[in-house]
Amino acid sequence: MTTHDLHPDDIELLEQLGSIVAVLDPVPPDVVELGRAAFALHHADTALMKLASEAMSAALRVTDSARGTSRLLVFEHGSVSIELDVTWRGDFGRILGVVTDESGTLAEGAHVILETRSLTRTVDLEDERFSFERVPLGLARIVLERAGERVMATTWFDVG
Amino acid sequence: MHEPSGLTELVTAAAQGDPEAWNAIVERFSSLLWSVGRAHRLSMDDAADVVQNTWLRLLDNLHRIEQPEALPGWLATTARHECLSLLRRRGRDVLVRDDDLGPMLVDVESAALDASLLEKERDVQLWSCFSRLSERCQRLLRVLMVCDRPNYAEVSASLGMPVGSIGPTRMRCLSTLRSLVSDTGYAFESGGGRPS
Repeated sequence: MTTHDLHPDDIELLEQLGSIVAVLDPVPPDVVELGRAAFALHHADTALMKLASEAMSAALRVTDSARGTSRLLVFEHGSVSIELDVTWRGDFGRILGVVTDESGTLAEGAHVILETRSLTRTVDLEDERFSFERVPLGLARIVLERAGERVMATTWFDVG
Repeated sequence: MHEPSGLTELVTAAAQGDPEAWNAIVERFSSLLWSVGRAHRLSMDDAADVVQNTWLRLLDNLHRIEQPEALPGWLATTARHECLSLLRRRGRDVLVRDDDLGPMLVDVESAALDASLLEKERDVQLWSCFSRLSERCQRLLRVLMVCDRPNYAEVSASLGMPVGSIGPTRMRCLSTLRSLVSDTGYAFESGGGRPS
């Protein structure tokens, strides 16, 4: 469809409605400003771990139980993979993770950072494992850090 | 200095770390993302979350976009998924019957509050008529309003509406709106106004 398919009167009607919406329900300036500011969260130098492909996606499991609902996510980049068990119930979630590094160079002395829209937390990687409790529902990502440098980050994923 | 303005240039520049290119993308498409959120009847706070989550998803994918001209459709699809994800977390149902196109009752208080912000009586009448359209019609027209060059794929992505139903639905919604408008005594065609 292009505007050519619309009768000129309909185009004008939509334009008039658009001008009304611009008065009644404009995009709040702070929403646009937040969008601009999001660029600061983009770290072009940090390797981005991708959610594993089709076969791995099939491993996604969702189960309802007394402990909540959980989802298993696997992210990979090169020789490194992160397996996340994301569980949520009520307003919060929990993330249990296992980092596997076939090269053996990353896990030594690494830290794991949880980033959400509202918080950042850092924990040590212990025996290739880490956990985060009381994670707010919404988007989150995991960043692997070593010697103060962000080495890898997962893409944003849903908690809840 | 040449400033990128085409979508291909903007996406390429933003992927290479140019904040001005990113800002231009945000400014160009914020209204589309906002309209998708509001078309799903989200509150302002929730719609703001949807917009921001969509930008974060785009940042993850900037370097992978092979067809920048398809960006509006990608953004609309992602925003819609964010809406549905948020609604799922809230436990809300968003299903709307396909044949639900007729006029509906107006929220009188809300319409009056809206009308108080409009200066022209003509706009008040038009908005009142729009508010009486079915939710499905309002959602469709709301997205059509913000598309500079609307295309079926983009609108379909925004609303999860089958491509084949968009044209007929749009026609019926506009026809209903015109019918409601004609009852007010106002005309909204070119040079229109209250008929003598």
